[in-house]
Amino acid sequence: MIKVTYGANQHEVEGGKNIATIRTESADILNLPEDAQAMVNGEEVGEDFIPETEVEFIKKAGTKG
Amino acid sequence: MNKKIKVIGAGGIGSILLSILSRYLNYLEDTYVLTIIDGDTYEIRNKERQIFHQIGNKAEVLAAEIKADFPNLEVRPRGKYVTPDNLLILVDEGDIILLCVDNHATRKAVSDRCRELNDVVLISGGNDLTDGNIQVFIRENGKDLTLPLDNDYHREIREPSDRRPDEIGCDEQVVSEPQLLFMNNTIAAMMLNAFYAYSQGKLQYNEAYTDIITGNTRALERK
Repeated sequence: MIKVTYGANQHEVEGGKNIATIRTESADILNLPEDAQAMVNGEEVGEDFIPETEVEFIKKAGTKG
Repeated sequence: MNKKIKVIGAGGIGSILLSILSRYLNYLEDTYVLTIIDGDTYEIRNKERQIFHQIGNKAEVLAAEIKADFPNLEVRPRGKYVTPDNLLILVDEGDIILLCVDNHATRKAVSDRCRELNDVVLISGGNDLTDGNIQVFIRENGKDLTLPLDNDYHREIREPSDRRPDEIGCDEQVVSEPQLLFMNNTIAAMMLNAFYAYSQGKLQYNEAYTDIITGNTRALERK
């Protein structure tokens, strides 16, 4: 299983899927915007990349205060 | 531990944070100097989310209220917005900065200023309607112990699409996104938690996200 994180939230998807597929499957569950950059171990990865254990879609910092 | 604490921004997050922080500092044995920096003015419409008892400059109003409640605490108001120029004076060596502003342009300006200093702690918080995050940037002896605010994970701060309040003309209409008092309160609490953990030498994270709809909070150590 692959741990998928966005902001405070996370869930798991089956392994062997690329970022584009994970993004689609996670969109509703994590309220994931289309432009959230995927990163693995601190490095940006593209839509064809297949993560082995986890991927983080980067959530932008809160704007207001 | 440093004894100079500066709160930049006394709006939704900052006014709540100050009400708790000032009480906490007042009853410590050490003497702290608390500086409040904000160029904005409290208006009646702010009452929905912000804690104050009179109309006027936010820094000056809150400083007066805190002094009245806690006469032993030294409180200094600075009724101005921070700019790259005045940050050279307002943010200095040894400061602990609690950054509670409502735009990324100011976050970048303050983070950039901190990068010029040898010893400084910057705790920044921001929220959207029902989620938000905090970041902690620490420099000691001229070295980054944690990442600055505009790191590779936060390019929206590195290249902000918004502007600082001092860059916005008086005749320009600023459309405010809706905010929730509960969310301001959550971010204020997270910032204070990070401040306490740092002050005890036990801080184990440099960023934390929260979402009040799912109830999840995630703290992490970015590298």
